[in-house]
Amino acid sequence: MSGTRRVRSCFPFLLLLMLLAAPLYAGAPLQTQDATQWSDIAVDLLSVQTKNGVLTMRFIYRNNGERTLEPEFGYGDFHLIDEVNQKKYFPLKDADGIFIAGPIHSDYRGGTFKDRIPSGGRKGVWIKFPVPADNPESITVSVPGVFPFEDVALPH
Amino acid sequence: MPSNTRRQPARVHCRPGWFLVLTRPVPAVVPAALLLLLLSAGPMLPVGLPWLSVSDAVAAAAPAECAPEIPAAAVAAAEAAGRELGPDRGARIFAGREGVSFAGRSVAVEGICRQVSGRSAAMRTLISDLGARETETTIELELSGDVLFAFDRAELREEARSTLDDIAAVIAEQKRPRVEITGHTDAKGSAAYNLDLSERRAAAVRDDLVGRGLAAELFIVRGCGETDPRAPNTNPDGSDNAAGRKANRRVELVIFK
Repeated sequence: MSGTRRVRSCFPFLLLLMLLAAPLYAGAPLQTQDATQWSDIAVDLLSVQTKNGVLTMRFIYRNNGERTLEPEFGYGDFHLIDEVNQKKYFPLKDADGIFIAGPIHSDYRGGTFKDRIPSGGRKGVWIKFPVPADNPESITVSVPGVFPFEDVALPH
Repeated sequence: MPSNTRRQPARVHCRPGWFLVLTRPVPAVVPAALLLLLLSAGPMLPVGLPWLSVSDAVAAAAPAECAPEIPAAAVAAAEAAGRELGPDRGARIFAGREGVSFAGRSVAVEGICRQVSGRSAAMRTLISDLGARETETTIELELSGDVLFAFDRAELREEARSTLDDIAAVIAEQKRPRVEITGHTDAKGSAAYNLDLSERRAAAVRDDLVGRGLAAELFIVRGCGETDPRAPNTNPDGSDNAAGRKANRRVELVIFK
């Protein structure tokens, strides 16, 4: 078997291995932004999912610094911006007026996040929004204390 | 050494139908090369496979304490909240030139081109005139008890009506408002009496705003009596501090946007 033919015949095998490895890359963040409010904090937008009219976002707050940090923010300061249709969307609230997000440290202002993140540590945050009305292709996600996540594609 | 024990070159045969047969031991360099290939090609595959979801992959890669888990109750609550929002999904239009009517008045909303989170000039003026402090999530204002009420009374003065007109307009302008009204008194009289008076005053403000068409469910009303003074009720020598007591007689409003 010639070398070229051998390589060609192994291509399906390599393709299969690539497919098997795909989930390893599925956990990569969609986008990462640095914090404006806390030095050494970076925030990964991990996933954007829509189901039954609800848009769920997951974030990871990473402390890249050498000391423990304690970021604090209100979930009410998260927004979605549909720049094409010039609309701003707000996090969903439950029947008690608390934002449907987590983890919630206190109910102040509808729910706040406050947690210690040690050096090199990570904390997960999730929040739910209504799916924007006009089915925009992408949105800007405004996160308190963090540069905006722009051109975030919406799953349809 | 017999010739048939010599190390043979590795041979990888791929047969039609995706079956693979290894006929010789594979040198370490081959899996290493395959791994390198996978690492370079993996990002080209944007989706996971059906039997391993994104969240599974993330959970596997991240420590348990940072994987954001969402309780099932939150999913149900979110779907219910989303249904209540109606077709506009609770959106606030941040640019436009159509008039917006509230509290019996019509205010033209000017387009906001440079600042998406901005608000109309008319509303900014209104908030400023009320002496309110605005944050990203709240509008906080303090009303003097002497302006709103006669001494020791919980009925609103006629002069307070225009101020409450403006406050109603500010509340109505918020897309999903919630309002906390807190009454405070000075320390003259018993603590129990002052607590009751502060509650009745806060309720009077709430009732007036509800009378202007705002939903009663928006309001949380409470009284603090004399427990949270702005200033001392007496001077250091024990004499009456009238200015301090005046500052303490107040109603605070926090409007959550």
